[in-house]
Amino acid sequence: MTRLGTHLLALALLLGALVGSGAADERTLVVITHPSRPVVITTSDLRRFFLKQRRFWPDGTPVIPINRTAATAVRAAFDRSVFGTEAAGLAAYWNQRYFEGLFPPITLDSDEAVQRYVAARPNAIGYVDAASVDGSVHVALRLAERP
Amino acid sequence: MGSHLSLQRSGRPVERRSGAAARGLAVVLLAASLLASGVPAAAEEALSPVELGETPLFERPSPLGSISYTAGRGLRVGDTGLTLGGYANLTVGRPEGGPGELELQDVSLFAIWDPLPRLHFFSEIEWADVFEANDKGDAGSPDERLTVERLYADVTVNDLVNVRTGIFLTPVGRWNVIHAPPLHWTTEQPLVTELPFDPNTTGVMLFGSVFPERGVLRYSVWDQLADPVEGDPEFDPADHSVGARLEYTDDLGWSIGATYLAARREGDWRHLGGADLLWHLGRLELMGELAVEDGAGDEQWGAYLQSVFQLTSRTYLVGRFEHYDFADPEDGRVNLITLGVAFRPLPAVVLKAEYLIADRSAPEAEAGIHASFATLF
Repeated sequence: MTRLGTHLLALALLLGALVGSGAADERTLVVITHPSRPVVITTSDLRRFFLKQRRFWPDGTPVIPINRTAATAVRAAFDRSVFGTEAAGLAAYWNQRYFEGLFPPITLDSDEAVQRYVAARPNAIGYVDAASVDGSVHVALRLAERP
Repeated sequence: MGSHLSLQRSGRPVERRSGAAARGLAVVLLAASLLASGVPAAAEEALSPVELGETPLFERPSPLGSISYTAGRGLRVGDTGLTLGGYANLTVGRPEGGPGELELQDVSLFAIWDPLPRLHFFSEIEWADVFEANDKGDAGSPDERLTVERLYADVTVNDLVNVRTGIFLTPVGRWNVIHAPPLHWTTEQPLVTELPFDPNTTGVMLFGSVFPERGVLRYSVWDQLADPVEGDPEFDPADHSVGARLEYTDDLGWSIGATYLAARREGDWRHLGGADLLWHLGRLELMGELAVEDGAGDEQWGAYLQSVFQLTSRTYLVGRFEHYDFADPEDGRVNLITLGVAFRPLPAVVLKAEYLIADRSAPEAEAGIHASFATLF
C-alpha cells in the first residue's frame, strides 16, 4: 500500500470512529408505565408529571413519577429531552416548590430498578434506556433526545 | 425563654422577647445552616445543582425508617411523611445618610407532613428580626418576635379541586407566595408586593389546575373566615377579604397571571386588581407585577419590572425599576432603581449585593447599599 493509500485508510478509519461514537451518544429513552395502564403520554404530560404540576391520572389515582439519579447519562438525556434549556433551572424550580412543602420525584439508581418499580406499581411512571426495556412494562412514549 | 407564640402578619411586632439564650439559639441555627450548606461544596464538589438538591448529605437508619438530610430540602423523618426544614436570612446595609446595619432578619422553620397522598399539612414559624446592630455601637433585639406565617391543611380531591384551610400566603402576584429571601434576587422587596394587601389570610382557599394542550392553567379563590390572631396595635388587617387568581404557565417558559382582591376595612370595601408576568429566555429572566387598589376615595398603585441575567453558572446581574404611588397624598410617589449582583455558590444559598437609587427619601425604601446572605436548610 502506498503512503497515500495508508493515509486515506487511516482517515477513513478515523471518520468511521467519529461517526460511530456519534451514533453511540444518541440515546433513545422510553417512558414506561404499568401494563395495566396502557396510556399514550405526550411530552407536555411528562413535564407536568415530573414537575408535579399534574398529580393524578385521569382515573383519579395519584401519579408516582420515578426519576433516575441526577448523575446518570439517562437522567441527563431525559432532562434535555423534556425540559430542554430549562433543565439548568430545575434546582431553582424545586427550591420554590420546597417553600410550598413539595419535593422532587423519588430517584432510583438503575434502569433495572426503575423497571421493577414501575412493573410492580400501577400508579408509577418512569423512563429507561430503550435498549433495556422488557415486556414487564408498557411503553407509553419514545423520547428523541434534543440536540 | 419566656415567649408566647402569636398568630400574626409578617413584619409586625407582637411581643418582645429577651435573653441571651434566644439569640444564642439563633446564632447556632444560622451557623448550622451555614455548615449544612457548606458541606456539600467541599465534599460533593462535582455534583450539579440538581444533584445537590436530590443527594442526601447523610442517611441514618432508625426505627421510623431512614432519617436523611438533604441541603435545602430539609430533614426527612423516616417513613412518617414528616420533613423539617426552613430558611435563614442575614442582612447588612448602609442606607444613604444612615449608619451601617447588620440584622439577622429571619429564621423560619418548616414542618411539612404528608401522611396520605391527598392530605398535606404545612407550617412555617418565623423568628423575625432576631438581632440587629449598627456601627454606632447599638445592638439588640427591639423588634424580635415569633409569628406563624403559615399553618394550613390541604385536602386534594384531584388536580382540579384542592381545599386549603388555615393561615396561608395571600396569592396576590408572584412575589408574596414565594417571599423567602433565598428564592429572590434582591435583598429589598418591591413595595407593590407588600403594601397594598395583607400578606397572609386566615380562611379557606379552593385551588387547582387544568391542563390545556400545552402548559398549565391554575386558579385559586379564597375567603377570609377569621381575623388574624395578633397583638400588634399597629397592624390593621382587613375585616374581611375575598380574592381570586388565574395564572397560565406555558411550556416555553413564560407565565402570566391576574389577581382580584376585595377587602373591607373600617366598613369600606377596597378593590385591588393586579397583573404579573414571568419570562425565562435562555440566560434572561424577566419578572414584573402591577397592582392598583382603590376605595374610600383614595387610590394606591405600583409596579415593577425586574430583569436577571445569568452571567456565569453561579453569578447573576439584577436590575429593577419600580414605581409606587402611595394612598396618602402626603406620601406622594417614589421611583426606585435597584442594581445588583447575586452569587449562588449552591442552589439553596444566595449572596446578594445591590444599590438602591430613590428619587426621594421614603422610609419604606431606603436608598443605599443592601446586601444579604440567605439559605434554605
